[in-house]
Amino acid sequence: MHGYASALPALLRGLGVTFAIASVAMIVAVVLGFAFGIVRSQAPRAFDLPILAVVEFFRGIPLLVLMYFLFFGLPQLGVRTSGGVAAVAALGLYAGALGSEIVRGAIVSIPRGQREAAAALGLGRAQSLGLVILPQALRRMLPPFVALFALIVESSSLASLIGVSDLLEAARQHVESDDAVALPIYLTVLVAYFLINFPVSLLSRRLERRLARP
Amino acid sequence: MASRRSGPLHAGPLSAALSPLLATLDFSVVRDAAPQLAQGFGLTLLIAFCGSVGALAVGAAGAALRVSNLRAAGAAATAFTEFFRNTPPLVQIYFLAFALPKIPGIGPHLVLPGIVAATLGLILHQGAINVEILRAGLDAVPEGQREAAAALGLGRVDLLRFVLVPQAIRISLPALGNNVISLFKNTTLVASIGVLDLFGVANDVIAQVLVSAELFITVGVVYLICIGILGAFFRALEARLALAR
Repeated sequence: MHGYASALPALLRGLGVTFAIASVAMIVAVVLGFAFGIVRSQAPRAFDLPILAVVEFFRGIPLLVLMYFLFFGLPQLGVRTSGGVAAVAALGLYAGALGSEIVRGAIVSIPRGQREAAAALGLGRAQSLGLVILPQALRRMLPPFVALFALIVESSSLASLIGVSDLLEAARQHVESDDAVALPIYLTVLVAYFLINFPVSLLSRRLERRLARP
Repeated sequence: MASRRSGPLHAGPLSAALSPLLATLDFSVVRDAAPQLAQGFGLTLLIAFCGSVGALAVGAAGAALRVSNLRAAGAAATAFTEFFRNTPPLVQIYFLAFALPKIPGIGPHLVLPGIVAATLGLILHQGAINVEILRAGLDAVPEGQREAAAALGLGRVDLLRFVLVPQAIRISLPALGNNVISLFKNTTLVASIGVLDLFGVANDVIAQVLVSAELFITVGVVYLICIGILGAFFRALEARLALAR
C-alpha cells in the first residue's frame, strides 16, 4: 500500500498503542511514586538512603539504556520480556522515580504547624498523614503529575526502538515501504504528539497558577 | 572472572539472589571492545557539549525575543517553544534526518549528516525548554529591581545587562543544569539513526558478540557516573554564584 492516506489507519492504531503504553506506565508511576514518596517522607534518614539510591539510579540512567537492558539484556539472564512489557516497565520505573520526588516534595512542603496541630488534636501519625497532610499535599502534587504524563507520552516514543508498534513505529514502517511520503507522515506524527502534549502541559501550568493564588 | 564470589561484604539477601545471575556475566567482551567504546564515548561528549551550547544559545535568543517589544517575533518564539518542547526529541531527529530531504525544491540541499541531524534535534528540544526556563527566570526578578534601575536612569539595554540578566541566570541555574543533564541522557537517541556514540557502539558490539547484559550494564554505569559529575558541577556552580545573604 502506498500514499499518505493509506497510512492513516496504521497511524491511528499506533496512536492507540502509544496511549495504552503511556497510560499503563502512568499508573505504575503513580503507584510507585506514592509508595516510595510516602515512605521517604516518613522514614528516618538512614532508612531513606537506600531508597534514595534506587530513585537516583532510575532517574539518572538514560531511559533508552534501561529499556534496552530490560528487552535485550534480561533474556540473557533468563528473564523473558516482550517489547510492550519492557517499555512499560522502563517508563514506569523512570517516571515512578520522578513521581516519588513529587510526592515526597509535596508532603514535606506542608508547614510543620499542620502536623503539630494534628498531634494537638490527638491524631496519631497515620491519621495525621491521611487526614491532614495528604489532602493538602495532593493539591500540590497535581500540576507536576500532569506534567509527568506529558513526559511519559513523549518518552513512550522510545518504545518504537524495541519493536513496539506505537505511533512512531507505525510511521517508520510506512515510510520504509514508501519513502516518498516521509515528509507528510513525520509531520503528522509531530503534530499528533503536539496535540496530545500541548493541552496536557497547558493544564499543568493552569493548575500551577491556580495553586500559586492564595 | 567467576572466581570473585561474594565475600562477607557482599552478603545479604539481595546479592545472594543476584549472585547466580551475576556469575553468568562475563565482562571480558567489554574489555575487548574498550577502544571502540572509548571512541563512541568521545562522540557522546562532543554531541553533549555542542548540544548544550547550542541549546543555551537557542534558549537565550528565544527568551530575548519573548521579552522584547517585537510582538511578532515574540509570538514566533512562543510558537517555536511550545511546539518543540511538546513533541518527542526522537521524532524531531527522525524528521530532520528523513523528512527534511523530501521537501519539494530545497529538500536535496537539506540532506544532513546523521550526527548533525541528531545534534540539531537535541538542540531544538532542549533549546525550547531553555527558552521557557530563561523567560521564567527574567520574570522572577522582583519588580523593585526594575524600578530601582529606572530610578538610577538605566536604559533598557543597561537594565537587561546589569540588572535583569545576572539575576535571571542565578534564578534559572538549577533548571538549566537539569536540562543539560536531560540532554546528556538524550544523546543516546542519536544511535537510533546510526550515529556511533557510546550507545551506538555498544549496540554494534552486541550485534557482533551476541551478548548484551554486560555491555548495557557497563554503558549504564558510564552514563550514571557522567550524570553524577554533571550534577555535582552544577551544584558547585550554584553555590559559587549564590549571593551572600
